[in-house]
Amino acid sequence: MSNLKRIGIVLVVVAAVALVAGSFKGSDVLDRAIILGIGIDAEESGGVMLTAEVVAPGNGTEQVGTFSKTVSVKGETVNVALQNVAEATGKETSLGQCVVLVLGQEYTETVDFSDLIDYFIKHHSLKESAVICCCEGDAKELFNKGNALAQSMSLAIAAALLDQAEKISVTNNSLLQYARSQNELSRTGFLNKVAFVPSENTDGNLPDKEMGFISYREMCVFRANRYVTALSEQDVKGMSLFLSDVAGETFVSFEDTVTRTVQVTSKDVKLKAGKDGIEAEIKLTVRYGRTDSEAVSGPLTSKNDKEIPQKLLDDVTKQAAAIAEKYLAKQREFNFDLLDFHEMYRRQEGASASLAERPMSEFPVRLTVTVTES
Amino acid sequence: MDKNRVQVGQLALLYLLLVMGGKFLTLPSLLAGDVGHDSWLSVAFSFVWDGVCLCFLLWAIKINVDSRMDISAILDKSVSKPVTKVFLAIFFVIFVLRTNILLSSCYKMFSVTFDVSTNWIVFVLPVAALAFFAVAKGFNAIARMGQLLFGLILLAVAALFVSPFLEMKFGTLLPIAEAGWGKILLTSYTRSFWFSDYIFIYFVLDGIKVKKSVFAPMLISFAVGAFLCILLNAVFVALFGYLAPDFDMAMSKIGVFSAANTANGRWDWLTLSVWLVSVFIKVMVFIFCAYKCIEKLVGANFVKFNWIAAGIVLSALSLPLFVSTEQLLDTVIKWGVIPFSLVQYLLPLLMPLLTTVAKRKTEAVYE
Amino acid sequence: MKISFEKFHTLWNGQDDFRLRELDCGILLKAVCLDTMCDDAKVSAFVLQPLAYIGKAQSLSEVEKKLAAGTGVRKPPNLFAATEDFTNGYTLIFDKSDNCISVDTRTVVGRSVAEPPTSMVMRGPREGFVEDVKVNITLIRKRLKTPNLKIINLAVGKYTNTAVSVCYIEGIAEQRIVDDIVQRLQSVKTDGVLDSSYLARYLDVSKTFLFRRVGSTEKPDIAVGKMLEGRLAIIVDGSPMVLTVPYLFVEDMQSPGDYYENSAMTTLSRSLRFVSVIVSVLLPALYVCLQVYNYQIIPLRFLITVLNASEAIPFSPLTEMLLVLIVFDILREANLRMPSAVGISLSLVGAIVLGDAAVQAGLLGAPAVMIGALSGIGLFTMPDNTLILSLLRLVVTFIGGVMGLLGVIVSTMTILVYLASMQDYKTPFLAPFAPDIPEDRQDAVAQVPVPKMKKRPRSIPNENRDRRG
Repeated sequence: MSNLKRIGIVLVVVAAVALVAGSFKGSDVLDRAIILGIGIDAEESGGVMLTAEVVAPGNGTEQVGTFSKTVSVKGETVNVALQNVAEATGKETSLGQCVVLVLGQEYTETVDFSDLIDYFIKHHSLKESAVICCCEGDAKELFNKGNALAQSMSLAIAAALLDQAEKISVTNNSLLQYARSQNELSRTGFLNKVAFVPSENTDGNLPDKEMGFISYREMCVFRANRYVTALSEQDVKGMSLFLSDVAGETFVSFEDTVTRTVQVTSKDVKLKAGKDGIEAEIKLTVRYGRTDSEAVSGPLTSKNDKEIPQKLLDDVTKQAAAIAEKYLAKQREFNFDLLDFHEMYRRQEGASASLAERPMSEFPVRLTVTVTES
Repeated sequence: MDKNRVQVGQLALLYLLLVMGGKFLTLPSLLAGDVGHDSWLSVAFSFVWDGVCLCFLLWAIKINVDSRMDISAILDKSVSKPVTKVFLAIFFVIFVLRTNILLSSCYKMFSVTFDVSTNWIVFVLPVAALAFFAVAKGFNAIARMGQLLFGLILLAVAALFVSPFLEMKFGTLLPIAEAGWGKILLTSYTRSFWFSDYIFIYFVLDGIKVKKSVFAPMLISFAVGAFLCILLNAVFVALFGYLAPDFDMAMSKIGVFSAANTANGRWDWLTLSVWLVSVFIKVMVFIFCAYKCIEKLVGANFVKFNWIAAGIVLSALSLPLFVSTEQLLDTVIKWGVIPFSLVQYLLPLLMPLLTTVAKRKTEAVYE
Repeated sequence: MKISFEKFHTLWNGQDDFRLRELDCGILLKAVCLDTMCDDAKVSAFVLQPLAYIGKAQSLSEVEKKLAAGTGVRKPPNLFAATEDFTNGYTLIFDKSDNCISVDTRTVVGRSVAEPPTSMVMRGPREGFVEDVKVNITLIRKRLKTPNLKIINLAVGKYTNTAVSVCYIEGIAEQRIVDDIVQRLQSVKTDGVLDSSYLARYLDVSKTFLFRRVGSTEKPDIAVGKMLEGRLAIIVDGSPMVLTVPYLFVEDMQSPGDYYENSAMTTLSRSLRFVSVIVSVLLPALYVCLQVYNYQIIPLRFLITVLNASEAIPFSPLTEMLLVLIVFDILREANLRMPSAVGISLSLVGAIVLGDAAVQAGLLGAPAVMIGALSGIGLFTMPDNTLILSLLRLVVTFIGGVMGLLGVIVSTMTILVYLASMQDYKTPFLAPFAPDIPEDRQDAVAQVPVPKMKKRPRSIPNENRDRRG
């Protein structure tokens, strides 16, 4: 190879490397404000107050306890607010690791937040599987309680709703599911309502430290991203009876001087849409609420000797039917559809404006509840 | 050793990778925009027609086993040289356009999903360099690499699919054909540009090494590929509902719900990048075919790597600098459907006949 | 065939170790030898003593018949062959009319057969090849007691005239490959061959020079095992490394001990080797490109560790990782050249103290050091190609750091296309995976028990596929 050719090749390679290296812009992780959770509150002037929980490294290699800080900024829109977060943290914001969206109570009850949901669902890096919920009081306050939990508030909420909720018979919503519920057919959906519940301080060393936990047994219902009503703990329990993927409801029976608790271990729910309404058949399998784990059951569990008296089973049946009916009444009263009745008819007739507008009162439900022992 | 030789088994695996390669990017959202939750039906129809054409093409391969003529030889002998050139020109346009569309989807995927923001030229250059390197090394190297990575890619697709598939409510797809059969069929015709991946076989006709059967391995891989594509479309529309037309990076969106995605780290992106390898393989195959088109158009046989031909293909890949992808889809491809279907759907049906004629003529010359 | 003694004499006379004896055994004979290459006792016992007591002989061929005590007596066909014999330690006997015979009087100087340091095994034979070609052939023949074992002897190198023996089993190895290799060796034009690795470069048909295309082993059992699969063994005088061709990429994953262990264990350890090599090449690149571009992939808790560790580092992630890799390569290189007495302690000091100090000083992050070290060690599961893979690792890391996942994908695919395209002696380098040869996968990564390996691998050209005779 001649020297000229060699020099030529070297020049071409150097130029290519320079061109390529100069044209790729990385987003170095150290220059990013990694957001774990976002809280949105109403702002008097009409914009939003955005609270972001941002990863804050710097505790050496320690990982325990809190490793994040919260930043609250105002903005006319979420996008502006996120830019303001960048200003406040000195780093570009990144939503790729964001696991939870929390909407403040006042915000959800007063504002139509369709734009907000649209912004987030179409956001390129935010995961559609992120958890979305609303909260009691302000989201900003909730996020600032992270210290009381001794862990990241966002991760705590996500863990509670994703992992724990279904074991105590509370269902949850991803951003995608919620966005779909607000735009398709009946356009009604729910958000879990989380709240910080203070508890007694048991730490002798830090007597002034606030302590508490997160509760999430209530829900709020929305139509087209507008607040409709709240569901109490009892309503949520009634709704859960229709969902076969969550279990763990408990029923308490007072008989003479004895109080007994039974727990639902598994559920078989059949909803059938017919011309004259919906047939709902709920089969609950229960056992005495004694064990540590509620989830150990299912169709492949071995048979054991029955020990729950029929009378107790009858009582549970009655209770279950009552709360389920109560929930259905609430659905009719506020005209929302969390059990996908509209969807059941859509599968038969196809989507149409008349179906979407059909009120819940036009879906009479014939409910049968049976309770057996596992 | 002929570096462009390929065994039927390799061809089948490569075909499967090609079928899956490009269809999980923008196509599902386009189809969902056209026919809503019936997009899977539209895909199914396209595949039915693809299957028919594939069978005819395989028949032609069987006829061609001994004589080993390439596409231009077959067309030259059975029709005429000018017609061959027209066909080759159409092929060239198809391959260049499809590569452009594929690359622009990848470009978007990298900039949007993976945060790798750069300009088109710098994105295309390394990919094209890879493709031309493969062209220089021969089709055999591409086929072998496909074989090597096949299992890994299939695993990646499975990892991305399984979880959303298991949670999917198939009832969402009801009622069937809500959009109307006519519209569904029309859509599968207007979107035919994305299908008929077997067209690359035309350009390796002379190198196919048949041991036992041609039909069984090819049809099995076709069936698997078609099944996976239909399934993906079904899962996609069932999962995203009204949002499906807006989510134009199907695979990366589905990844969010995949088994690989843990709460706090997006492992699915690693599986996604493994799947992206199949898209790059598809790009390599199409660029190989475009290069071969030029070779046959000028009637030469490039023994060494031809830089001029590569330069022509490369400059054709800068099309997105001047025309946006949407414009391309709305104008060129919309009007190109008819000439394209000539080589995509008519030519394969005629191939057994043409091959037989060409073979007879060759034998007559020797006698 | 006449060989001019005059010519020969002018060539060699004046050399210090050149010995010439004139003897009268009825006819006048001249015996010549190189003192340094011959064993005095052998010269005396096989040449001088028989000649002294031979009585009257009429011709050189009669003398040849009488030299019964010598094991190797032959007639070199030309001056070239005579010189070759002479330099190898033969004693040449000329008569007046320029007829010549050579008698084997070579001296045996060299190591004795011992366990090779490069491939120790837990179980299995411990004999290793030595530098002497004759001993090496003995070691092979000891294991292959068949007339089908063919040995073609060649001399390569203008000045070194190194003896090269091509061994193969007739009826198993494909004759075309044998001819091809012999012809290739014969056409080698070089000053000298000092080790078998010189010839390996000439046997690389596609002239890739990146990956090793010729296998090498120090163990006769391995060489014979490979010959039984249809390969050829090439023994070079002066080198304990015996070359085997054709060579497959997977051979480097196979360790000599694999065949003497349980096949399930072998499968496990080979899978580990595969995984560790892939991880070693890709992990540093992924670590860098995940930090620079796609940190969302990193699980949050690990990400926080990374953030904590790297916030104070003065380098970019790419520079940091390249530094770690280069330091590791320096340590490895130094360790290789250090006398073994200080080697172990110094390498420990180097690895532990240097790494820890760099982390403590805030120069490098602990995760980067860990990943660099893991990747560095992992490559050694593939001994033959370690160096080239460590070079490729640097390249992939650089490209990954600059271009992100796109770069990693494109560069990995380029390497794969390159590997897949290589094919020497009708053997695809990546067989039995690309092209996929199902029968051959019984001894690639997974291994079936030996009694179930009934066929020879299809990827190595051979004339008889049945292993059972």
